[in-house]
Amino acid sequence: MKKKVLVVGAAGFLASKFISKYKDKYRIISSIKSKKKKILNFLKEQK
Amino acid sequence: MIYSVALDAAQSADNNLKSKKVNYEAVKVFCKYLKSNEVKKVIKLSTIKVYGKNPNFSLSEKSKFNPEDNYSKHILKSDMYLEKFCNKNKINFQILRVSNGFGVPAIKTKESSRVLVNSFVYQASLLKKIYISSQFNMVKNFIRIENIVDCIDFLIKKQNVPNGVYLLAGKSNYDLASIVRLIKKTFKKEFNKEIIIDYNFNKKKLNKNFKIENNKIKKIGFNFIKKDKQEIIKLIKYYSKI
Repeated sequence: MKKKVLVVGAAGFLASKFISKYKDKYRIISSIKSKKKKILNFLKEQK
Repeated sequence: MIYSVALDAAQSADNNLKSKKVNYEAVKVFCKYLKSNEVKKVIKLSTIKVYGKNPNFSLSEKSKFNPEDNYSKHILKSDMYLEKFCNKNKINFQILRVSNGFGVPAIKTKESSRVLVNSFVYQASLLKKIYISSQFNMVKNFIRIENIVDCIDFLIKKQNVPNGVYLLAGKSNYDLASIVRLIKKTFKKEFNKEIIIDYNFNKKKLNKNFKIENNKIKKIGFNFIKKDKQEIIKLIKYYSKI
């Protein structure tokens, strides 16, 4: 099973490069300001 | 989790309040959410600028802080907040203090064309000229963005990495004149294009003793690969298309 990785600040220079390179290796949940709800759901899933 | 929230140095200099909100206070909100959830590991991206803009000594994780602008002052505060929070709540964390990243971005943003090497290549592609406004031929460290994201991947996979701060730097330092000469040479050799370099440096060398110790991250098994010239070729191709 792929590891889940939440990236906060995903639109930045470094984070976006990480997502682009490793999107197939990890289950990436990326967040920018407008995706706050998505982050909260992700955190709930971690419980 | 990877925490990479930041307002860049130029924007932070223009707006202290926004810098405080984005570079520092946002981490408090992030930590609130971490607290009630079983997050296993946090990797936070930070900057070596917390040790000063142009230090003239060998930097290590133990060097004394000297934040000189809004950006580094607020990033340092957020690093310290996260460190304290993670220690208190027993969350694994690594803070990566990165030198000057460069390389082909995944998405076109102003931020990515403002980082130093990218901005030189961008200027050269657009105007066939590189202008440096700095009075001094500062020594800088540049690290390929690929190295940084590979290090994040390494830290996600690796078990039992000690918590704390890690410096990430490229294999070689360059002074400003050397890096623009390398760009000029690459344009000529690989693309047969002439680039004019325009700078007027003071003869005084301000930080010739600058060096970054990468040993802590190397000791846990991460290797840095030097492909600076290849990355510059990729950058030239990337910006020539825009």
